[in-house]
Amino acid sequence: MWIFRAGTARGVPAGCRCLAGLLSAGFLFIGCERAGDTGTLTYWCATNTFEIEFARQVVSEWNQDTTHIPVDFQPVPAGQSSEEVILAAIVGKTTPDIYSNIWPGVVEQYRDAEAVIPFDQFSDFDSVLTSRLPAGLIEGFRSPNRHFYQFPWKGNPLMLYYNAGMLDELGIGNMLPDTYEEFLSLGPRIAVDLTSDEHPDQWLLDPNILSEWWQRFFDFYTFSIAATGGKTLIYNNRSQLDRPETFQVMSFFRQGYSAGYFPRSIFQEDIFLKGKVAFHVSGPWMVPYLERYKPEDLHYGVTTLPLPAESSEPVHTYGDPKSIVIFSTTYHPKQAWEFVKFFTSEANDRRLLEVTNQLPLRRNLVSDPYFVAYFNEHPKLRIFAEQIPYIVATDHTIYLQEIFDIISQEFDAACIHQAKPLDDAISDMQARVSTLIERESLASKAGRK
Amino acid sequence: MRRFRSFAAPYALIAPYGLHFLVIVAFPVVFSLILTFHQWNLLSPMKWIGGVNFLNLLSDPLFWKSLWNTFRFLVIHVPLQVGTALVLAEILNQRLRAKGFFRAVFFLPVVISGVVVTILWKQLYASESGIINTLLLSLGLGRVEWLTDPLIAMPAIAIMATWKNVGLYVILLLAGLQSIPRQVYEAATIDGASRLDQFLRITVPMLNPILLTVVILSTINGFSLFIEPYVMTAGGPLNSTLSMNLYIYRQAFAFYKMGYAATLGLVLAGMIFAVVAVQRRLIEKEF
Repeated sequence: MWIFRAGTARGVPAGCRCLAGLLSAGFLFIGCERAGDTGTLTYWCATNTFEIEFARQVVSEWNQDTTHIPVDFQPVPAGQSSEEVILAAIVGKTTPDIYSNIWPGVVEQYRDAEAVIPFDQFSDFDSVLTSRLPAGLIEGFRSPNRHFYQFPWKGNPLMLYYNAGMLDELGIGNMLPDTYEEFLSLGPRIAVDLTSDEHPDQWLLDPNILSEWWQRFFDFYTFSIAATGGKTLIYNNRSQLDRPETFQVMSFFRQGYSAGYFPRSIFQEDIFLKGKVAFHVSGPWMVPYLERYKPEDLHYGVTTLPLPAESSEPVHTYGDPKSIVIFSTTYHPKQAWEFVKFFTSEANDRRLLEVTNQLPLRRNLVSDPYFVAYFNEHPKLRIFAEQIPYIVATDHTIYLQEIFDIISQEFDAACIHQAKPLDDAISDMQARVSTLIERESLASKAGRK
Repeated sequence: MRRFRSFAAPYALIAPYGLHFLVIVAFPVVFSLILTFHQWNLLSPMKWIGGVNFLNLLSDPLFWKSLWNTFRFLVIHVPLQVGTALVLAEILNQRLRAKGFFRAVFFLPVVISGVVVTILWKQLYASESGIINTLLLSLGLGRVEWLTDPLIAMPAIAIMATWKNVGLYVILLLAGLQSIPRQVYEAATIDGASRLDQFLRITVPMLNPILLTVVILSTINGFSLFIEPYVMTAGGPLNSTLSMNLYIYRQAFAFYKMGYAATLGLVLAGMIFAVVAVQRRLIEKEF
């Protein structure tokens, strides 16, 4: 039967692809395959206003040079998430030539489906990458098969925002907590009942308690990276979740929730903006938001994450990076690569900063004279830029979402609700994640890759 | 030629619906059945794995949890919904002022988008700033963690779902009530039957066909619980609001396990058939 025919994604019958595309995203545009070579490159950017403006400026400048292949750009079509839209586009073979806002966590899936091309096929790729990216970050973007299927573009290091006014009132001032013990010791003074209803009215830290898999990037994973000095969850094809730092991180959150220092509530307002929480983990995108909406009396600062114990080493964090990919549907891979180089040039990196307030993954970003003026004008973003060399991305596995779903369930049970002993949660997490890694490894050995 | 036309015309007339049926109903159903025996992540080729998806399902604790949660929701939601609808329909069947206004008010939530209703109730249920907790505190009662307490979250969702859907069932039951002849009640009154007796021995039995429809619709609606936990709780706390549909959605569109999701879907469809068949038998037998 035609429906059972094996092969690559291209081998799946068009009817199935169309149906699956419709089911997965509900986008009618998937219905037909892309038209043939139109002699142009299609580029999709993110949907936020600032990035659309940035893309418009870059594409307009590129198209002014008539020796270049013309580029058409559009924001990624609307959907539940851009990953979902891209997936639907891959299934329907309607991908653009270039997409600039890919989360590295899904690149391995696209590579597995042969939907993206390796950048290291281009002779100057190594020199372009090494001259742009901080040396310590390069390996983090390499796939397990040693090729690069993404070009690292920008990063959003997660850091600790603090309510300076609240800490000043407590006499803490600049003595910010460096360790979990110091951090939690502030709890009794901050998480207090102000309205005599036997319930705290302000809190120490406000992690999101929802159990969606991606929420754990903003608490467990970020703290885990900091605690381990920049290590991800899988090393040498083995889950590292049974390491001591996992226990330390989860114990920190368990103590915070059980003592009532972290709220076990879903809020309908921004409690950091309302001055009800002392610390909040977020990325640089929150700076422009706070500058626009914060009340006059809210003074805030940004610092690195606390660690299990004192350390003189730089503190690492999750960088929430975004990369650029070239899809294998392109008719013009070389020209697409030329556009990517232009897109990530020094001039366009400064444009990215100025137009979007987002940080390019570029070495010496803070000390490079070309960018100094910008950071003098935006001192809060300088703190995030200084963190760029110490960011970490994600592991390269096709099961990343499932792994984080497992972590989220165990975190929910052991830390937020204390319904399970920590040791049991960690050993269950380790066992379940190991099974997934083993499955991937077996599939790989079976020659699927 | 005329003969051919008279032969072909009916087929031509049903062709649009036939096409619609084949593409929108038959193909997805058949394809889903085929998927249950495959491993497929949309991107890579489909791989035949026989009955592995069914075996995995039996040993999947989250499948059993989501099944339990769905039944827990049904047990709370269906009686609450049908009972509330019956009481409201009975009230609206009395001689009331502004009857039309009340009917419209009860029906209004039905036509509001489910996502909008859910977001609205999320605000009402908010622990710190929600109206419900503010009211409870002003009455000197304690704060309730409506959406973050594993024991309370599902009943809270059931209450919200009842509010959202009850209007439709009120209208159906009201139509049924109005079709019961007045003379039956008059005769019962002369025979000395109380209002409660009249309700239990006349109203309910005579409403039986509509009651059956309401129970079946309400059950099918209950099985399709998705938007509420998806928007309000993401299946938490402790997976206590993870419904079958939410679990299927996650398997399909978060983890791209299409074969496993199709298997879960097949099981869910089977259960809906079974439960509705049992309900039909019980209700028809009872009255």
